[in-house]
Amino acid sequence: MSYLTTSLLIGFLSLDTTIAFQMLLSQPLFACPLIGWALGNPQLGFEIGVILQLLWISIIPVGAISFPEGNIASMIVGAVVIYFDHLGYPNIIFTIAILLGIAASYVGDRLTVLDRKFNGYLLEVALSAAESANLRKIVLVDFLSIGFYFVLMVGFTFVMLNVADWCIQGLSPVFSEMLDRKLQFVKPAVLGIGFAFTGRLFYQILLKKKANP
Amino acid sequence: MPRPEPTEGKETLAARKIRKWDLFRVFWRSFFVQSVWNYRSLISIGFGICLFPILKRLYPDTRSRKAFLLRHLRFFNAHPYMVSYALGVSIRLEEEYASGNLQNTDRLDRMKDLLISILGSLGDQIFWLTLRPVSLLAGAFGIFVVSATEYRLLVLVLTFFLYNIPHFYLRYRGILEGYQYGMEIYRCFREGRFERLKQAYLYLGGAIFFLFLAVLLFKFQAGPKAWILVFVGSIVYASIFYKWSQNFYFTSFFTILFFIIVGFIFL
Repeated sequence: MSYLTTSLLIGFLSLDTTIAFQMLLSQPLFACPLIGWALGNPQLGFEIGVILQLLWISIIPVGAISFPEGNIASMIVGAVVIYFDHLGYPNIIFTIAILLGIAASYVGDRLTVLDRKFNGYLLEVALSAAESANLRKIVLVDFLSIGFYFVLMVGFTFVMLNVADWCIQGLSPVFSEMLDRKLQFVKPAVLGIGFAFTGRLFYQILLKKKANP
Repeated sequence: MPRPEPTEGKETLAARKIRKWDLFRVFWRSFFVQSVWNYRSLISIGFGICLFPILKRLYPDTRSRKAFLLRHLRFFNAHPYMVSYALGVSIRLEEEYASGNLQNTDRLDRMKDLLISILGSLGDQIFWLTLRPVSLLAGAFGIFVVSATEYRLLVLVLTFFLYNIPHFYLRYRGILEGYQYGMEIYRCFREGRFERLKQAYLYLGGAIFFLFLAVLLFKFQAGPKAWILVFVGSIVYASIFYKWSQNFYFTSFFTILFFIIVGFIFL
């Protein structure tokens, strides 16, 4: 499967984050196995999905706050790990992918802000359409907004997959069994970070509950 | 979740033009309520588009359609699932206004303003802070403990339903109840109505969290012993670092970096 096709799949799944449905399909737990299926390795998709889900489980998309775009980042990490699994250095690939993923979650957040600003322009269009009671134009605005976000996420994913490719190809001469062994702590560390965030979330909910019974 | 008793008058019920099919169309459109989220009017465009089937049913002329659109394109926000209550109330009050039972739309505007904080807070508490993390944690745990692809797929399906049954139910119920109760919608939010659902998920989440932790430690025992130290160490390190920095990116990056260095030193 080409990077473009994978980007299209990820772009489609990312709509579930805030734009449409919000039925969990863009969450790492669901999205990574789906990408795994598309790329021919669902088991690895499941494994990556569990690890990354915990990392981003506590991010709450409340109101207008900006938050790390963990969903799109996880899908990119999942795709990179599966694409380069054949190299035989799982820990090295996972380390590169997760570091890129953290950066991707930040850039994804900035892109969401950009999308919301673009939607501010669309509001003007919708208001002018409302003046003439033009329902079709308002529906068109809706589709345009969904389309813009989709294109933004497809483009972003495509760029990130190529950056990952470039990094991995560039660094591949230094890949070795020994380096892979030295990076074996990264996966349990990411799981640990996920548990720290998840535990903190539950602690806060229960504490709040105690304070306001 | 017991439902409150309706107290509305029969004359308003008799004047109803809205069909169940219209409500279902609003329900379907509500899945896209956040599609044009913007910093000026938040979800108002999506909210307005959700009400198009109602607009078409109630207002045939351009002037009243324009007034309707401008009414609903002004600032509005709510939790994307709980917004269904505001949709239901708006449908009811628009219907009353269109049939002449309501003199003006001031009450509708005020009601929508009131619902912003109530629906936002309720939705965040029920879904974002309880049902979603608990369902995902349960799913992650299930996938972690089973290894066959078909069982993992089954876990995913169960996780989907664990979250989406209450999601779909409240989304649809909200429209029906909002429509049924209109201005008396506050009866649906009386204290403790959603408490049992939240509590059940919270207990489930707490139990799974500790079970997951125990199973992970047990599994790590079978592998290299250093993994347990790294796992526990990263929990402590990330917790302290986050308390100090309050920044997700720094915490994740520096915790990973720390354990990369540890790996280079000790392996």
